[in-house]
Amino acid sequence: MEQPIKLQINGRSYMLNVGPQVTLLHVLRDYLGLTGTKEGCDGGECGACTVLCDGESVLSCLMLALDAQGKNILTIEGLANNGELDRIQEAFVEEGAIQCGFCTPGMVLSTKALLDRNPHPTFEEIREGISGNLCRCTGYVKVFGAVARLAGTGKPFSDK
Amino acid sequence: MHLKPFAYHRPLSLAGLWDIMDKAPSGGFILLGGGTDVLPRMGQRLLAPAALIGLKNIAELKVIEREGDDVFIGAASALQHVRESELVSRLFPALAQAAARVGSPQLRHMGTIGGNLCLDTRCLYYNQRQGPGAFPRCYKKGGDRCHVVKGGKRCYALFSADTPAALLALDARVCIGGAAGKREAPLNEFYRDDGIRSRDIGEKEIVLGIKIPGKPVRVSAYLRFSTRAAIDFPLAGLAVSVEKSRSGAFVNPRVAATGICSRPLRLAGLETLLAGRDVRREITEEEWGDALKELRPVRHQGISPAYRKYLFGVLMQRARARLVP
Ligand SMILES: Cc1cc2nc3c(=O)[nH]c(=O)nc-3n(C[C@H](O)[C@H](O)[C@H](O)COP(=O)(O)OP(=O)(O)OC[C@H]3O[C@@H](n4cnc5c(N)ncnc54)[C@H](O)[C@@H]3O)c2cc1C
Ligand code: SF4
Repeated sequence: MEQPIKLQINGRSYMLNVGPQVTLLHVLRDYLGLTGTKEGCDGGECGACTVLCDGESVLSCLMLALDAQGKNILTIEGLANNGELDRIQEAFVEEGAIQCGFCTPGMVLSTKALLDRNPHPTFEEIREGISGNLCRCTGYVKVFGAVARLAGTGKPFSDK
Repeated sequence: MHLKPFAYHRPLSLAGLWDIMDKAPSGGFILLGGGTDVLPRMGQRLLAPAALIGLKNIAELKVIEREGDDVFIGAASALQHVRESELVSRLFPALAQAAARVGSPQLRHMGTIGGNLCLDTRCLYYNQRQGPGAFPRCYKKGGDRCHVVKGGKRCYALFSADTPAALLALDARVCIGGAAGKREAPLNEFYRDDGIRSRDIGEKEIVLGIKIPGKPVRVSAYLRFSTRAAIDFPLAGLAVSVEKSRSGAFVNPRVAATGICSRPLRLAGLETLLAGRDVRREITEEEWGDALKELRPVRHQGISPAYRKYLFGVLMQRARARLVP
C-alpha cells in the first residue's frame, strides 16, 4: 500500500507516495528524474547505483525507499555547485578516468565516501574504497590515478 | 529492482517486534537485516513474502559491548561497524578480517552480521532469475532432484558466508530470542549440513546476536579464496585460532571453514594435526592432504572437489604463517 514519505536528497526535501516494494533507485530515477544514479545489474553486484546515505556508500537498488526516510541522501547531482564541478569530478575529468561514463557516478561517490573519512588513503585503502564499483572500460588505472591525485599519494604504477 | 508488493514492518524495539511476529501468519514474513541477500532473491523471484520485518531500527540489536569476559555483538550491527570496532579488531582479528572480506564496501555498510550468520545456502542452479529458461525444479525449489549431485537424495547447496567460519574458530555462542524468551547455544550446534534448512531456529525466533569469549585470549586469522577479490562469495574460506601461549605451540587450536558443505564446518583433521605443534613449523602438502582425507566436498560453483580441498590446504599453510608471533 502506498504511503506518504519524506526524503532528504542533495539537501532538498521531497514528499512523495510510494509502496514498500519501491527501491530508492527507482524513486531517484523514475519518480524524481535524478537519472545520474545508474541502474546496472540491479542486484548488488556492480556499484553503478551507489549513493551516499549519511556519508556512507550504499547501493540504492538494494535499499527500500521507506528506509531512506530520515537519512541524508547524496546523489551525483548533488556534487557540483552552481555549475562548478566538485574537486573529485574535476580530477576524474583531468585524469581521463571516464570512458563510457556509466560507472562514473558510483565511482565518484565511492571516492567521496572514502576521502571524506580518510583524506590521505594508502594505495591499498584506495583499492578497497573503490572495489565495490565495476568498470568495464578503463581497466581502473586512470581511476586510481584520479583518486591518488586527490589523496596526494603520488602516481600509482609509476614503476612501469 | 521491481519487487512484488509486500507489507513492511519496521519495529523500534524488541517488544514491538515480538508483537508483530506473534500476529503474523505462519510462514507469512521474512526478517530483513540489511536486505543485501533477501532483496536480490526477491528480485529473482526466489522469495515472495507477504511481509518483511526490518530489524535495523531496533537499537538493542545494534550494540557491540563487553559482557564480563565476553563480547556481545548485536545481530543488526553493520559488518563495517563490526570490522571497525576497536574491541573486535583487538580481540578477534579473524572476525574483523572476515567481515572485511564480505562483498564490497557498499555491501558491508548495508549488510548485518545477523544476516551473514543466517545467510541462506547458495547454488548456481538455484540462485538465478526464475521464469522461462531457469533450471527445472530441484529440491530447494520444491522439486524432486538435485542437479549438482545426480541421483542425490538431498540439497547440497553451499554455505558461503564469511563471518561464521571466524566465529566458529573463536568458540562463539549464538543468542536467540522470541516472544517466549531467550536461549543461547554454541554456534557449532546452530548449523546443520542441509542445503534447505541450514540453521536451527524457530519460525518465530530471531538471532539477537553473537557472544564471543574474551578468555582464554586467542590469536586468530581468516583467509579466503574467491574468483574475484571483491564483490564475490568465497570459494573457500578458512579461520584458525589458537590460545595465546608462551611456548609458541598451537594450544587448543580451532580450524573452521566456509564454502565446503551446507554449513560452516570445524575441520577436526586439521585441528588434530596442529594441536601441540610449534606454530613456526611449516605444514607440508602431505600433512594437510592427510588431515583433509575425510573431507568430501561436492562439485560446486564450477570447481572440482579435489581443487577445493587443495584451496583449503593452501589456506591452512598461509594461515599458520599469520599466527607466528
Ligand atoms: C554481490 C554480492 C556479493 C556478496 N558477497 C558476499 C561475500 O563475499 N561473503 C558473504 O558472506 N556474503 C556475501 N554477500 C551476501 C550478503 O551481502 C552478506 O552475507 C550480508 O552479510 C547479509 O546480511 P544482510 O543483513 O544484508 O542480510 P539479509 O539479506 O537482510 O538477510 C539474510 C538472511 O538472514 C535472515 N536474517 C537476517 N537477520 C536475522 C536475524 N537477526 N535473525 C534471524 N534471521 C535473520 C534473513 O531473513 C535472510 O534469510 C554478497 C551479496 C551480494 C549481493
Ligand atoms: S544443491 Fe541440488 S537441490 Fe540444492 S539448490 Fe543446488 S541443484 Fe538444487
